[in-house]
Amino acid sequence: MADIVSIHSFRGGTGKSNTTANIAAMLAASGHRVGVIDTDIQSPGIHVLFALDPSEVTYSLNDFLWERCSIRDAAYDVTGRLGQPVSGEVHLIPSSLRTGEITRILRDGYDVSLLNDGLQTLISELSLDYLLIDTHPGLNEETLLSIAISDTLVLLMRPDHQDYQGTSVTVEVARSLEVPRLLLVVNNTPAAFDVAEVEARVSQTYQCEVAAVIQHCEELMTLASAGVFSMRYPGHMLTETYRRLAARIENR
Amino acid sequence: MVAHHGKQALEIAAAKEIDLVLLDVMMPVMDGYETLARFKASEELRHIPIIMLTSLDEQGSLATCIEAGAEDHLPKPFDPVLLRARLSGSLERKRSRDREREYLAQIVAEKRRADDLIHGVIPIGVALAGERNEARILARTLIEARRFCGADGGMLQLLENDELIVVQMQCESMQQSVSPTATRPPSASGGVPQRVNLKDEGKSRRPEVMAASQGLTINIDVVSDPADYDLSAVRAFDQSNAYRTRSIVFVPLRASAESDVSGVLQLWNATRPTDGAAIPFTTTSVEMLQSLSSLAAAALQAYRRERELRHRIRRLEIKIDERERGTEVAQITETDYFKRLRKQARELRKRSS
Ligand SMILES: Nc1ncnc2c1ncn2[C@@H]1O[C@H](COP(=O)(O)OP(=O)(O)O)[C@@H](O)[C@H]1O
Ligand SMILES: [Mg+2]
Repeated sequence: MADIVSIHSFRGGTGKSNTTANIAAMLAASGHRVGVIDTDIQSPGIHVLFALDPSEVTYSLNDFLWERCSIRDAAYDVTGRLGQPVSGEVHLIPSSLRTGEITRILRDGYDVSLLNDGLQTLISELSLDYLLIDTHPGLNEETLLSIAISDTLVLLMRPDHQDYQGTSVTVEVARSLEVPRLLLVVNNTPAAFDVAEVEARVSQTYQCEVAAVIQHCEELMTLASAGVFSMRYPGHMLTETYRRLAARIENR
Repeated sequence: MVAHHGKQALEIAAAKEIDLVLLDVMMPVMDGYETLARFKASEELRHIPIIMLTSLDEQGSLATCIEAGAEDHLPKPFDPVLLRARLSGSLERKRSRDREREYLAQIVAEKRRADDLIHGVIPIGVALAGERNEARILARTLIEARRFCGADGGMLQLLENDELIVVQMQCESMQQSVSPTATRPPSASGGVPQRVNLKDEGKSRRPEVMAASQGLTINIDVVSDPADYDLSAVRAFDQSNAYRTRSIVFVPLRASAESDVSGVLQLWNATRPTDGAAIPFTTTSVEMLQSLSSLAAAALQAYRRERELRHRIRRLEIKIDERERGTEVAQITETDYFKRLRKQARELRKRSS
């Protein structure tokens, strides 16, 4: 049975897509078969990191939710686009980039149980070891579903006052949903901050394991989502952090 | 100047600045050969050019004279034109040798200054950069500055919102010193006002104010050349402590010529090592003080920057409004959708385990 891992944050722009892509690449590098699904229908983005051009996308997650195709039709093998050969595989289910389709989904909503069924089908058809869900920020119904069916919830936050309160609400909601494992990840930590101190303070405040403190990284910012960082900079300190984070997710 | 014999010539040369000596061979008391030998044996007189005056029968000893270090010789009776020519030639050579000696002395002084910097000031800068407490940086700066120029006392003022505030004061002969670990600045000490406002019109000629606002280094010989500085603070200090300030130097604290002045280092009464008398501060020691104060300012700046960063980490104090969280959580968890979802998720997990 595959592990479902949701990568979530209360606010947008916290680094969900970049973190998801790097965890996926690291898990694939360890030989796993990984599915990545972009449920951030309002602001899709992870396809960019895997160099998947919208023109190549025949069917997206939106088409599946409208029952226009099977979930398998919306999956794209992006293993060859990671920038480095890996022994595992990465399959991406992108969200539609067509604005009309985005607004329609937002207006009409979709059947969340259909999404749930789709994920299960995907896991068995692609024999996935891990299914990573790049979620939409906040706590709407679809996000709650992703969290509910997750074995692990990776909750991203920045060391920023804008994130503290919302993160605490999300932690409580996830606990109430009885998610088996909750991991906090602090992203975009300024170099001035002491990593160990940040980790201690955050874990103490939320009474929750901090799986990684990721520092703000100029190279990552300069890469501007045009690739998966850990594959481009295998020797970088940040890559080591991603590797440990992936290992933590792997190790149950 | 005329000397009647060699001994007298040596006496004159020792007492006065002599550019050239015309030396006769035949003289009473001490003859020309011996005089020449004495001149050349003396460390102080050896550089004075000597032209020997020799008669025809003494020509044989000419070689001896040249060998003994005479610059030139003239046969007697001498031709005035020839004499003038020889004189100006000799003098010109001496002048160029003097210039050389001056350059050499300058090079030696520069080298000493560089040595002082490398062995004296820079290690202090390194030590200052390692201090983990602002009061220690300040106290140490003052201690080292005083040691460097042998000053009896000194004071450090820091600039804060246009005000110079006394933070350190030490005076050896008054046995007054602020402990290096003291975190609080000394109280208004010995008649010196704790704070001076740079914007105060009436205080614009005070050297510490000029050092702080214009970044000037001001070295004052209080006794013989106080110029037109306003030394009222110095005099007040003297009066209330029965002290006598004879020399005082003010150096702005700043990391580089481009950076802002962060305070003023002042030192008073440089002491002569031999008898402990108060003397003016030398140009060299003032230069050293400038180097030292720029290192101290840099250390202070680095320390403060680090402290600011530490503060920011402390500000990572994560504040959570528990009540509001409770309300927000309840709004979500008490919906039918949520309850249904939780039930489904439970069943799902039960099935898979
Ligand atoms: N650790 C980091 N250091 C520097 N920039 C980062 C870091 N993490 C994310 N970013 C940048 O922040 C932006 C948002 O990241 P993204 O992964 O798209 O966030 P999200 O998916 O949560 O909206 C991107 O421009 C990304 O390059
Ligand atoms: Mg995203």
